[in-house]
Amino acid sequence: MTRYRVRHRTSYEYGLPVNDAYTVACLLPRERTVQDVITSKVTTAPEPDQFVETRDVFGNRVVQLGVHHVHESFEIVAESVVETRVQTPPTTTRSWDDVAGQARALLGRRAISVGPYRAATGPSTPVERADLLAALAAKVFVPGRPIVEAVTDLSREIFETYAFDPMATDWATPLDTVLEKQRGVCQDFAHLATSVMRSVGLPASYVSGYIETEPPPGEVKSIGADASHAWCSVWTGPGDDTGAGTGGWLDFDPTNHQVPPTRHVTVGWGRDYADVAPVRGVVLGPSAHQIMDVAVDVTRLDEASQSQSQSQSQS
Amino acid sequence: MQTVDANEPINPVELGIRQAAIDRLLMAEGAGHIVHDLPVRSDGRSVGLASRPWRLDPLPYVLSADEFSWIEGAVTRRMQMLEALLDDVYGERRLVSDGIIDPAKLWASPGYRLSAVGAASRRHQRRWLSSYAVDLVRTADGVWFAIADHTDTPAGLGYTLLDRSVLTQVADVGNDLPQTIDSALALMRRALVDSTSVQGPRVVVLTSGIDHPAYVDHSYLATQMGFNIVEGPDLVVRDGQLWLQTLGGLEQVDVLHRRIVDRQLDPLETNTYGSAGIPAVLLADDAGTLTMGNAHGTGVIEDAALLGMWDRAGAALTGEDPWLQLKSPRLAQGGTRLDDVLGRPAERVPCFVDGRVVDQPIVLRFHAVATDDGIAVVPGGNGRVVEAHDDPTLPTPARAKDVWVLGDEIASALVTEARSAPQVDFITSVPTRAANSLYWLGRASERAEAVARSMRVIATAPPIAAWSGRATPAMQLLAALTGTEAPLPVPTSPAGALTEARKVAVAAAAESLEFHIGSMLAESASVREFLSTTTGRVLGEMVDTRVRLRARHDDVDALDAVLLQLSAFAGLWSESVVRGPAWYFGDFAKRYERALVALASATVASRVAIDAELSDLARRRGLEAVLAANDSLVAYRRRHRSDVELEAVLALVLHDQRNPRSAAASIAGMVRNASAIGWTAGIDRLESVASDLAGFGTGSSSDQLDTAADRLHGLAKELTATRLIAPPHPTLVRARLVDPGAVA
Repeated sequence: MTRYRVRHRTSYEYGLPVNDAYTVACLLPRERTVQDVITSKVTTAPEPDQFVETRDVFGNRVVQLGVHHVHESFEIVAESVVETRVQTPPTTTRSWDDVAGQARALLGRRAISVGPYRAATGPSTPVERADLLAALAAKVFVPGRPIVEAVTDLSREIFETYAFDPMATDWATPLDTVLEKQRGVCQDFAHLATSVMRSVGLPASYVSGYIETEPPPGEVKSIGADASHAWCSVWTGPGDDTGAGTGGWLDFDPTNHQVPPTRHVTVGWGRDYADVAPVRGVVLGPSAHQIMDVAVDVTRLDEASQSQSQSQSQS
Repeated sequence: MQTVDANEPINPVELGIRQAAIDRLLMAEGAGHIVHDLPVRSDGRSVGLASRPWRLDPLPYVLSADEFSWIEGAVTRRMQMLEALLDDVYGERRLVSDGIIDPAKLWASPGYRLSAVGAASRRHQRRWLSSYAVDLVRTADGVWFAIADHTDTPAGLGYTLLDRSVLTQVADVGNDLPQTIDSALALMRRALVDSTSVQGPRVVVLTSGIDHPAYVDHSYLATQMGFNIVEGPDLVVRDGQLWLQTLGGLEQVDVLHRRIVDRQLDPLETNTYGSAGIPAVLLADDAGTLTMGNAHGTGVIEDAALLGMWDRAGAALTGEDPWLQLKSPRLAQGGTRLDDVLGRPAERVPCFVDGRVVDQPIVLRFHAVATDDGIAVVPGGNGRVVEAHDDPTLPTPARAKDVWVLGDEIASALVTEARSAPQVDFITSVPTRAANSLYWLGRASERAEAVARSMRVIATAPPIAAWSGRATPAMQLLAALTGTEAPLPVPTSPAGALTEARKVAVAAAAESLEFHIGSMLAESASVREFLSTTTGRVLGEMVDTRVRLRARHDDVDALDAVLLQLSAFAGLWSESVVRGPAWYFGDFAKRYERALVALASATVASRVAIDAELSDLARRRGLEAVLAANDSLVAYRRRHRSDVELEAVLALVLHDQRNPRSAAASIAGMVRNASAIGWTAGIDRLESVASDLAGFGTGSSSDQLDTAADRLHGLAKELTATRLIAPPHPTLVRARLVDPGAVA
């Protein structure tokens, strides 16, 4: 069990005063089996004229903010303390094709809760280079292969063949480009992995959150050096034991090849980035110009476990 | 004369006469000027040609009461089925848990609005569909099929009413009166009022603007129902409620009859921004403080990827097979020709095309509304003649057909009692955008008149040798009015050069005139409810004149026609528009523009009067031209029986309060309007401009006139900046441009 404090600050400088701003933030972490939320809050400067917290259809915590007076900058800070545990991997021995068949045949509440994650959505679907995606899927998802093994191999495949390159993509880069360039960031790799899994019929979700990054040995960790992060989760069959081990959702981080992830804080999940974008909104004013700055700090509060082994992490 | 009995011979000559009458009437109803080429609006947004005038076939499509009775039942059931489907896919999702609908398919649909999932109970929604339209086709052997459901923003009821009002004026119906569809408006009103539990709700019709392909439909329906037609920037969400921004402040909106598809309603939901959306409107919707008709999410029914499953899912849900089976061209394997879609020949009906009666397939759109007392289907509809190259699902009604139901009135189960919505007082409740449009309408109409008048003076003036080397006074005035340089004729061949210069000047002015008339058309299209009905006819004719002038710039007859139409417009403006903030705003702009014209005229007159190179005759002719361009020549002649003198010209153009064209009278008009609007801050300063001008005489420098014009500019700008809200420039906010990508 690890306790983290997360501070995520996003600030915008507008070239000219804006009159009206609407912001939707998906920044407050949600509870899940492997995560308790101790405290969490969102604050902004200037203070909002309107503040509403709701749950979206995935159960994520969403904050809608309105600043309806003239302002030249906007800062939104989310601070939370969470306690996380490393996920116990499913024990299922079923093959991935078996699980895909189960997923298609789901009825009742599970059809409603799991089914949506089989849906191919725009951002996670290649348009031009479906062939590259299919090749990757065929390489990993060999018929009859156990699901956990296949998914672990997918994570490794992406980790080894795709280069982490923050300059290669932006928030709107289509999956086609990622497939062609074989480079990108966590968002791209999470989209890629979910897309591959959905293409073979497996329910897969896009998970938004943070990862604890550690400084190189001997250096002090710099403030704001962490980043928002994304990984994915795959449904490996019903969570109850159906005679071939338990299934359930298995998170994995293809950017760092961790199955399951170990130093991750979850904010929420959906079908793709667009469902859980940390901050989005509309500003009304004379200027289309904005300078954005993001700083994330993930601090481990549990002193006793500070000396864990260090590994490189990318977001 | 019997038009509706297929057994009687149809006389093509008579039909041709009717067609011409229909074309004229559609124009007169105002459809013409709205759908025509509208180049630009005051906010600089150019307006495309999405919308085209349509032709209404002189032959109606006729259904017997029995046939309609079956359609009524079938459409009602289909609407009920779709309502049940929407309720399920956004609510309990029994169809998903029972394995009838694949959740992956549903959730992959961009039409499946996630924020609408579970929303019905949160917002205490009464129903998903307040209105519904369905396109039907009958096969040659008499079987009806649905080819498209319209659940998102069912369009065409306005067209139906418009077409019917035109056709009944033209057709000779004899004893075969079609059933009236007058109740459609009351039904639609009632459906919108019944969509909320608020008593006496404020309803507005939301359109994306005059560039929407169905704007005529939106505008006609809104005006007929007596609801404000509004655009996204007119509305704002505050404290979880939706408000209309008016000159008098914010007014709460209870029901939004949206004519914008649901996935473009809220840029916060989609993180995309079109001009149409209202940021955070779904917050108000979700909180239940606002009701949308139809509800957000209803567009999912129209998603091409899901079309194929509704009939089956609906049957599973309701336990009965639909009366109307959907055969969408989008599902068709072969072509999109109706015969291919249906798998057998579609019915052909007589249509009047290019002077001949030919048999063509037809698609009929029927409209239904849901009220607290049940569903009602309008006994009529709009048909579209399907030409060989048409996609039957795309509404490109080059040729529309009115649908008549003959026979006894059907005893509908629904008794349509009028339900009251507070009649919006258009006099006091003026959306700021409408005020903005009226302001620019006033300016454009006045400027167009001055330009047209000057053009006419130039086009008809006899050549005078004195001007052979330079721009005539009228040309100078025109240059000042249109902001162009006065052309200098080449002095080699005096007479020819002047003719050449005249052409250049008129051509330049024609462009400006075309622009101003275009602005008038564009601005007036969005404020129909503030103008009188006849104005539509006048504007419609201006469309034609504008086309004529484009073909020949110095067409004096066309210039006269423009001046006549502008006079008609001005007459309607002053005699048929109720006085209120809307009128005062428009009239302020008119007077302001007229003051500028007077100042420009005085400037040119002063310049001509001191021009030593001119003969007395040329000087007098020049001053006369300025007076004529200012429409003050007659006034001058009545007062001064002598030759034209500068002093008297200035007195008339600048100082004479009794001359409605003078600067003094115009500024006095601005003061009157400013005071009516309550803009007290402007009154003293306007009066100070007037008193400065009062001292202007023959010896004064024309710089003084420029200063006066500048001060008026400043004041007008201040009024618009403080009273009218400029269209916002939206910028999307992102969480990430490039990922910070920390590597530890």
